[in-house]
Amino acid sequence: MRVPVLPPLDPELVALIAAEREAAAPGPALDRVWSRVARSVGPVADAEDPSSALSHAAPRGLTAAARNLAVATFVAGGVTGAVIHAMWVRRPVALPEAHRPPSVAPVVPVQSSAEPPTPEVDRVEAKVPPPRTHVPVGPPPAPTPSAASSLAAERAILDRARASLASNDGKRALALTEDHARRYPLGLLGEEREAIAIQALVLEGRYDEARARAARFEARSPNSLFHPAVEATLESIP
Amino acid sequence: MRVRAANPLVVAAAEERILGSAEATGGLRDLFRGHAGYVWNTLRRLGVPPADLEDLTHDVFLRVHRHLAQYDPTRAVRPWLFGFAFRVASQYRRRAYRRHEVFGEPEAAAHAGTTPEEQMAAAEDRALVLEALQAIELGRRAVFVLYEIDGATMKDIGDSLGIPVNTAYSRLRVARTEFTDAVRKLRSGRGPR
Repeated sequence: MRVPVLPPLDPELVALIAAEREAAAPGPALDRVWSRVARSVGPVADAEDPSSALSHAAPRGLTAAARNLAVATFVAGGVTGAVIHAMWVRRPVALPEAHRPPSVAPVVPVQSSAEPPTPEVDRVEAKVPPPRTHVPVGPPPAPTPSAASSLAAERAILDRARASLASNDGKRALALTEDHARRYPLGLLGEEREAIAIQALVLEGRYDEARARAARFEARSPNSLFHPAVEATLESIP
Repeated sequence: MRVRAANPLVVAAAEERILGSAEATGGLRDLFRGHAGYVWNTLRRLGVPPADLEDLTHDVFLRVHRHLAQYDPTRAVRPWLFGFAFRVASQYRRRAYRRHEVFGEPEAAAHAGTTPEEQMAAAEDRALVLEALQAIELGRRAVFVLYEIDGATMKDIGDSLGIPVNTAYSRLRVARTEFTDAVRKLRSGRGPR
């Protein structure tokens, strides 16, 4: 194949491009992204062994309850991450004003139909279900300090409840969810609380109560992301 | 094949080819640790606004996670990651277009320079590059970014974007002209620094 020869770029442009090549990504933002990725791909991704992040499912041999706990933990973590992210993402990037690029007229997106890019991944991804996307919606209100601290406090209670579930202490997990409901009847993490509470009821063998609470949850929050976790919990009832 | 000996990234790319294999097999965490910044900056260069960079970087790595087993360790990892970022940015762009939203230019990234003056100058240069990139159609911009900024080989670019090498060359040629014109235009609008 005859390889085309490209003339060298103008040295001034080369210098400009070199500056962009040195751009650094913001570390805290990447930490938040990793936190979300780890939650999204499953609890195994946070294990010490990095290769465990490649596991797509709970290991074989786990009990149904443990699998359900994993599902609940995964979904709960994901939604929590999304909430926290939503509060973070609207914060302005802390760049000095002088570093901001001047605004220009909006760029009209160019349709690529004339020469459509067909990356290899397009063909691969046509075979898998569409991924969960994060369509940006309207800007959420900036969190006030009290709202942020409330969220952290809610998070702390539910983290303890989940830890109790992990140690098979359904009673304590239930008590913590009740504490959460008492303190934050309109809290941001109400759906997560319900998923944990239903799990705790099952763990305690209070199956009828778990089913009734799940039915109420379904009626109250028909579009909740926690439904798969709740359904998996109910399916584990012998 | 033309050898780009003057570009230090050629050496880096060769090293990365080896590194990439270890990182891909080492797991998503290591891949993220080694290349999340690269993915972030790639999305910026492909025109994703700052407010959506976290979401889209997350999306890229979820896709990478699903396809990790398909990674060919004989290929450099960054052009492979670029393919995912390109796909995500393209979809994002289409969604933004359908919603009639402004697909704004991305903000210049932070940079650890030496003196404040040098940092400011570098930030201005990066802002100029990002603005000029917006003038290039996305498919051509992808080739330009991969070749001129990332130092990828044309073979890797072709593999990454699923296009013949000659197509990549012709896209690069047009993209260079567009980029040069855009920089000239932006500079004339701003006056001398």
